[in-house]
Amino acid sequence: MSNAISVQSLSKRFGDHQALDRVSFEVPKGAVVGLIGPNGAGKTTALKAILGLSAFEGTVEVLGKSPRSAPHQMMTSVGYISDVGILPRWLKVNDALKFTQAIHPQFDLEKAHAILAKTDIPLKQRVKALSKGMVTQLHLALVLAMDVQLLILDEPTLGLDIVYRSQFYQQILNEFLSEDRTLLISTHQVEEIESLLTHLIFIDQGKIRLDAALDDVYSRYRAVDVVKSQMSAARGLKPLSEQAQIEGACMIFDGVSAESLAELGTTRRVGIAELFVAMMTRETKSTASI
Amino acid sequence: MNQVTTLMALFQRESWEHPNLIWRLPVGLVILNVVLAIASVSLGLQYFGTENFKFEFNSQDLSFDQGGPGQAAATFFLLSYFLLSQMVAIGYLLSALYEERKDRSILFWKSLPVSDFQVVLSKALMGLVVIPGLYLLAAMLTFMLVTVVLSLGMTFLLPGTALFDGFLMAGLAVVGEALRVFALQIIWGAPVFLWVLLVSGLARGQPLIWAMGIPLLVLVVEKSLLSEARVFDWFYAHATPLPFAGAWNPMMGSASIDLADGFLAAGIGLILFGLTVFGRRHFHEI
Repeated sequence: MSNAISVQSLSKRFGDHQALDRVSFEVPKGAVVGLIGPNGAGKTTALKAILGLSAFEGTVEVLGKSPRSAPHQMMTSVGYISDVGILPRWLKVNDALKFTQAIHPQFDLEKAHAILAKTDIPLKQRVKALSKGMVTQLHLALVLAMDVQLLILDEPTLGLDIVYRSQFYQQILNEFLSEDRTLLISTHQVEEIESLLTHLIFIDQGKIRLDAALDDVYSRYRAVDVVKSQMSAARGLKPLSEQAQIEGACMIFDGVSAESLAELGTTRRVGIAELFVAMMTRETKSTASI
Repeated sequence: MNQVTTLMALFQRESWEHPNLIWRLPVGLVILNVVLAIASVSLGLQYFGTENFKFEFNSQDLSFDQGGPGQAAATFFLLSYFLLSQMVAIGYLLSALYEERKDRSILFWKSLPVSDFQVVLSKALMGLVVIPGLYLLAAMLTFMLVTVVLSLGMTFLLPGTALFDGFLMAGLAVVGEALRVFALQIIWGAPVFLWVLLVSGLARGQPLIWAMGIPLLVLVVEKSLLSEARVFDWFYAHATPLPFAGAWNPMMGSASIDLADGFLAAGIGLILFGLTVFGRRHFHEI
């Protein structure tokens, strides 16, 4: 499978702060990749480099081209929704559709109207009169109607209520995802996108902490609800994390066989959110101990 | 998408963002002046009355065919609208590339397949050509409509007066000159207009202060190091709209630019334009 995005030794510095430190990863075509990291981890910086919106060191290729050489040409095949409401407040919904149709060769106006018809967004209204959820819906409708091959989302549902968040991802699932389309999404609300993901990248302090296919993550990491009597045996297997529970503890193990874990308690598939917390907590502890 | 379609869409975008400056103000001026003309004629007729009104001169003395009031009226509208258009255009250019960074909508515009060159070109043309052009059209429309109103009034006062033809023709003769000045002003004003656009694209805050402050700094440096401020003076001269540069010339008959100076202005304008495109693409971390 060829790659939609290839990032090699990507570095970016803001003054004394090293936002990205020789980061390398690849996003295969057709994959749904979650870029997960705490605030200030370098997610947005990485996405902006991928979109050609900022200068950087290293090599980035998006759909086979460098985003810095001709970003506007790349954007015929790439859609982007940012973490903040970036639609201009003075723009009317109708005008946003009209403008996008005029400048985007693949924009399907009928599709955009069909998507918007399922929402409460009035076509004659200006963006400034819409709620934050509606603005995100409008932006998503525009992007979905562009028929792009690669969609990059940077915390797209930040600040939205649970209903809008759910509708947002449902729409992505229904209208965008297919075998030849790629989605790279950065978000804090990991559990909401877990069912969509095929690949996972954890990033922290400008470095990649985990880069794997989700199936590999599930076979490598396991969560066990360890019973009280097995606590010391479980700790002997050096769990990645230990979360106290009423009857024992929930532990996450890295690379321990299912057979070995079965004796400790109930084994279950690890959740991305708990794995993320486990890895970040461990990282903080190890950094603190240094 | 071809370049023209994209450029037209970008012009339309500017008219959506700045409707007051780009079309509501000139349309409002046309309406206001026509209403004032109608009011003047109506009040005049009401005050004097058509029967008791007596001219102390006959229609020949008005010399409409040789210019006079027609030319003066057209010149007044053309010059006043032109001056206003230059101020509006500078104000527009000052915010043209600054506001999109301030409200972060630049992220949306940059996520669309439109190049920085096309965006900057649309904004430069909007300020240099489209806005002054629309105000010029509004001035011509105002003059013609006011002529119609005055002619209708005059038919009551002085039946048989060929006001319309003479007045209109004298005015339209000025329009030809105004179009020449308009075209020359695009080159004459390019360094200042595109300087303002460059500042709008680069300033992290207060673009007005940067746009005025740097030339003033140049003035201070020139005055300190040299006896004369040639760079500042040249820039200052080009900041004055062409019909008002030098002596006031109501008829705009002698407005012209030196050929070498014109090439220099165009060249500097092109350099500033290139820097603005480069700046929008590379300079700022959005």
